[in-house]
Amino acid sequence: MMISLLRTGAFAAVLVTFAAFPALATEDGAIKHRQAVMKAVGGHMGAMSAILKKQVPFTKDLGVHASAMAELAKIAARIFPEGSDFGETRAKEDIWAKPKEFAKVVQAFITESEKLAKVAKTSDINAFNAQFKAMGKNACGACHKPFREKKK
Amino acid sequence: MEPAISHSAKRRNSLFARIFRVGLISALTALIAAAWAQPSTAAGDAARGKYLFDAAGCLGCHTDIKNKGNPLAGGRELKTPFGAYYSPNITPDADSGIGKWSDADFIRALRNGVAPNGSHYFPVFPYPSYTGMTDKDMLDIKAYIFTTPPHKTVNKPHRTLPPFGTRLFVGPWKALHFTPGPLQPDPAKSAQWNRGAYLVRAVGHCAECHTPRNLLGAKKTDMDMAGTADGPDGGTVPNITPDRKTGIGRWSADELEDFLDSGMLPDGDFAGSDMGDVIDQSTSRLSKADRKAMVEYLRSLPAVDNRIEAKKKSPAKIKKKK
Repeated sequence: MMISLLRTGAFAAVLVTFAAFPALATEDGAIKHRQAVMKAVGGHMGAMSAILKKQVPFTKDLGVHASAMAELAKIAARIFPEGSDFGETRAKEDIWAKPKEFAKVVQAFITESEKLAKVAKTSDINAFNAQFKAMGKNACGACHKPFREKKK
Repeated sequence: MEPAISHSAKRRNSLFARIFRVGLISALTALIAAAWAQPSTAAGDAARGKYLFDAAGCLGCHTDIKNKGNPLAGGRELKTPFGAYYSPNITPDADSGIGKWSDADFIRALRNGVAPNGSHYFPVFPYPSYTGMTDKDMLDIKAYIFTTPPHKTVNKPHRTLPPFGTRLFVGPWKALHFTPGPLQPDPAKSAQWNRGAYLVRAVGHCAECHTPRNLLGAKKTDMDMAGTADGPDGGTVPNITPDRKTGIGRWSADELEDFLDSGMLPDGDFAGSDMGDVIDQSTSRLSKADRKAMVEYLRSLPAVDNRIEAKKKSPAKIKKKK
């Protein structure tokens, strides 16, 4: 009896702990994870930009970066969980307040990066350059403008 | 061995050189000025004005995009350390806009920061930069604005902090911190550099946000374009001097041109917020040659070591779950 009570008590304590703390930890974790993913996205963009500007001779690697972008775009849709606009983030509340508009720019990211990965296979550098620019405008910029807060 | 030129000969030589140099410089100045000043037309050229209107970024500040306001009808809030300002209606509406303004009224507003009724504008309107534009460019912008649809929207009063709320304060401020007059080309520099200076300094008014201000709201001249953590609406504004550590010194010219065209930074990030709007509505609409000119000018500025860091959020400022 005593033992079972104790066991129940311990179980309840564990439950309470799980309920109270991980909620916070998850939000913070979601923000850190999101920032890391976006950094990876930016890293591939920066690498492709340096190649396209002929600062480095790794033209052959454009395909690697482009398909990485296409894969990362699929992740982008799920790194903005509800509630992750609290804490140290520049994600604007509109992401959750205007879900339709936000879904549109996430879809643009998926579509444009798929196109880029496709163009990479043709080794037509001019077409690649054009698609790279289109993705920057229609996906990256189109999302950062309405949905990312300025640095304060 | 000493060169066999007597002291007086040397002096005569240098005097001659100086006269020659002055002559050359004034000839060049005259040439550039002649190239600059196009024949003035009575009515402005609206098509040319549209381009300059974009370069000057009029739309962004004079439109309350956030609240779906009509284009150029004003009402956009701009929070500054001196209070919240609301841009006025500059549509050609006769009563609530600038429909009744004469060409002279328009020039006086941009050149001198003075309204048709004689009152001073707060320098939140970037006339300390626009003053550098030519009369022709100002009137072309006016001609374009007068082709846009009028909207009846009454101006919102500013919510300023004392003593900045009184326009009486603006007169002495201007006497101290404002020099009106068109930007003078530098004959020692290339035409491209001079075009860039005109676009960056006068039309594009970059320094209005990128140069930090003192307690009186005057731009710190020794910190030209060195950025600030107290930018519009409380945001940080980066250092755009060619300092390698804290500015844009490590950016190549084509990276800078790309940035002004598409908003992409060398690290792969993309500009959002205010600079995103500037790129959308202004720099991306310019010709490639004009962006190149701006970049040449920006890269020629003195480097200032000034790291801009986002103000550390105090725990109280971090958004909390409601």
